[in-house]
Amino acid sequence: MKENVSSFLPLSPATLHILLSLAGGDLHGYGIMQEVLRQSQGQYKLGPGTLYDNLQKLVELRFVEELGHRDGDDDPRRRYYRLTSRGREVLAAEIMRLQGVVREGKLRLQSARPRRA
Amino acid sequence: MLRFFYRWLVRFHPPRFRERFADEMLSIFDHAEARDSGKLVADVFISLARQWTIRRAFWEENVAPSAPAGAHGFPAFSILESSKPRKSALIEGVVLTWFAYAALFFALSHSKLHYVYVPSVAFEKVAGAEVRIPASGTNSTPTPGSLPTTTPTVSEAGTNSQKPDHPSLGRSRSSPSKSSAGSLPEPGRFHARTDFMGSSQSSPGKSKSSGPDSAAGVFQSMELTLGAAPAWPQATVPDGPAGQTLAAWLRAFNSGDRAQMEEYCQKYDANQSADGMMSFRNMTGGFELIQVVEGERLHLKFLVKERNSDTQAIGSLDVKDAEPAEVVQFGLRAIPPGTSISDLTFKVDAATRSRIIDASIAQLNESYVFPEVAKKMEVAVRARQKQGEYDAINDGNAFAAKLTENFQEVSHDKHLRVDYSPAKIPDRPLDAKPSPKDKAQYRQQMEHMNCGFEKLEHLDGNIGYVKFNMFADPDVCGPTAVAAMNFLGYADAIIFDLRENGGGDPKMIALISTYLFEQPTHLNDLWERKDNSTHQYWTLPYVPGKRLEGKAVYILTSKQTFSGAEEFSYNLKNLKRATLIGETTGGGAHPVSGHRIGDHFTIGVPFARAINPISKTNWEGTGVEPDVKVPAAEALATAERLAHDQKIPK
Repeated sequence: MKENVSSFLPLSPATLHILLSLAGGDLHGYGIMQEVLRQSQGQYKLGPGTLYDNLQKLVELRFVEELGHRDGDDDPRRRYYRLTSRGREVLAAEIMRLQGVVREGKLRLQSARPRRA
Repeated sequence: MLRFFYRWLVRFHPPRFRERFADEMLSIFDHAEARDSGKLVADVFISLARQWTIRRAFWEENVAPSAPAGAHGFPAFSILESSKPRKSALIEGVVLTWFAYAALFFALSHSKLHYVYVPSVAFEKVAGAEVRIPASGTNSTPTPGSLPTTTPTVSEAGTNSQKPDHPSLGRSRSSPSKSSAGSLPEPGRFHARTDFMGSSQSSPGKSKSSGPDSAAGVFQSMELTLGAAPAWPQATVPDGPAGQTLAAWLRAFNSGDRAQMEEYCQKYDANQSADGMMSFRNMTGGFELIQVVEGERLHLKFLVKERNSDTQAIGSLDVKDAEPAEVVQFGLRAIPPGTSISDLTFKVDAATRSRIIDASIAQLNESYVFPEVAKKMEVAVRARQKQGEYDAINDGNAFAAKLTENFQEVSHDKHLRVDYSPAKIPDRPLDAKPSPKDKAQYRQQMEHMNCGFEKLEHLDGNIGYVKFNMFADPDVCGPTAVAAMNFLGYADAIIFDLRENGGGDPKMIALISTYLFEQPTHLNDLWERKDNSTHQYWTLPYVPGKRLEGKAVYILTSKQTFSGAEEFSYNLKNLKRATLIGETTGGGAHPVSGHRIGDHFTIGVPFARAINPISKTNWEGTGVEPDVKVPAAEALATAERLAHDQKIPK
């Protein structure tokens, strides 16, 4: 299963953020948008069009599953989404990859300190 | 209404997507804050395009059932709905479309400025090509930008460029003696206090000068695509020498590449400098061409918009027919919002000419610093008027430049100048204080150009270096100056780079000078003709931070160093507090104040003179002689060497 997951990397920013927001628990679409906004400190605004486009793909890929409506929600139109174990796997793989990038970046930037001519 | 529209757009998504997500999207729309609804609508448009184009994999199989409907001849509808639309719905659609078009064209034909602004076609393709200009306007409405672009226009061949944004009036960049760049009396912007030594009078006409280096225009963005709209008349950028020159200028200017700017200056316009272009480019981000107002073989008048803001500017260019063409006059000035095309194409008639001549002579007689020189100027210009020398001039810039030249021939006073403004100058009382709006604009401009402070460096050998290009009003720029001086606090020697400094406010001169002295020091006096009064300028009792008394001071000068920057140099030279390195400065020691002398004209009248408490005279006409004469380009290296040799304070 592992090798199969790595073929999905790197994840697009939208995918990464959506998976990451669902990693904390089940959410409905609007919840995902707000969670993404919070995670990125307001820098990444996900529109509903992009969101559902990605959810459509992610459900297709079985990274995310649709839970349907929830009783007692203040808006009955909302459907909830959950990260599958396969989704969790791909997210973990992506985070590992990003760690490598960050490590490399720090090294490079330190050695390239600007000099005055 | 917006919600209805949103819902409608959501419904047009591919069926499978719509079935699964339409309700949820609508739910999000209902929960989102009202101010985000615009963004949501944009989002749904993008989504619509995406789902119908690159997401076929998700809808194709679902669409199949409704496909047969396409056979009925309504393919677009058939994909979305399984039934054909009613005939009446089609008719309603046609009527609705007709109304929408009617409303659009009505709006187009009633917009104020008629231009088209379309990004993206490189100028090369355009020079010589047709550029369409809508008779009926379109796009953006001009709004005041943040730029200091009030760049003047100007000058004759041989005149020099002035730096944009230099506060002092009439700053001339190179060959002294000739008339110089024009300035911009922009109503409502940057007038007050922009002149050398901060005359306290801030009349509406006060102008600020800058120069050809600031001129800018960009053809890059001409729009060819709009040619599709048949109702629009066209303007043509002629493929003549003027068009080619402007194309070259735009290319170089917008490239942001110094080498290209240098090449342009060498080839077409010796009055511009790569330095000037570069700093103006950095300030504006380049220009988009909006419209060519007048296009002839050797003459262009055009409208541009600054990339960094909404500021628009009117540019004019005249060239001599040669290969390559030689620039006779090139200028740009910012225009206030709401200026109409008729203002921009204003022609000077005989009545206006004589009115402007009368009014400028009256102003000079009333307040020019030397009354007898004012009389001589009157005699000279009246004689020329009688001989009909002005009769053929109907271009505002040319007329202002000619008058400036003729007044300066007699007075040799580079602060004295007549300026033309394409936009009407509001008629405000002479003694009107700057309005809060003026002040806010001045502040915005200062912020935009960092109060003229361009570079602050700690050089090898613990030498502090600061380059600033104006002495701005401490009211707004004091904190910046204080921060800069404190950055230099621990240096063993200080280099002030005034090679591109066109002057400014004597209060700022006093503020910065204060850091160089421990004791209260008398810097300069200004004598005013009006009430025969003398105002003394001293260092201030207090400035925040560490003072630099005893530290070696070097001032870099060039022939563009002018007005207030000369005062700073002259003061410190006479006080033996600094070593001047570079070229003899421009030679302007008369603070100036602006006066409105017509709907489109102002005159900057020098009304006072500097008197140094030590030399008892000033640098008017002669400039300030450096202690070490080297070409301006070598001044910094020379100063660094001297500072190293001298090492540490005495």
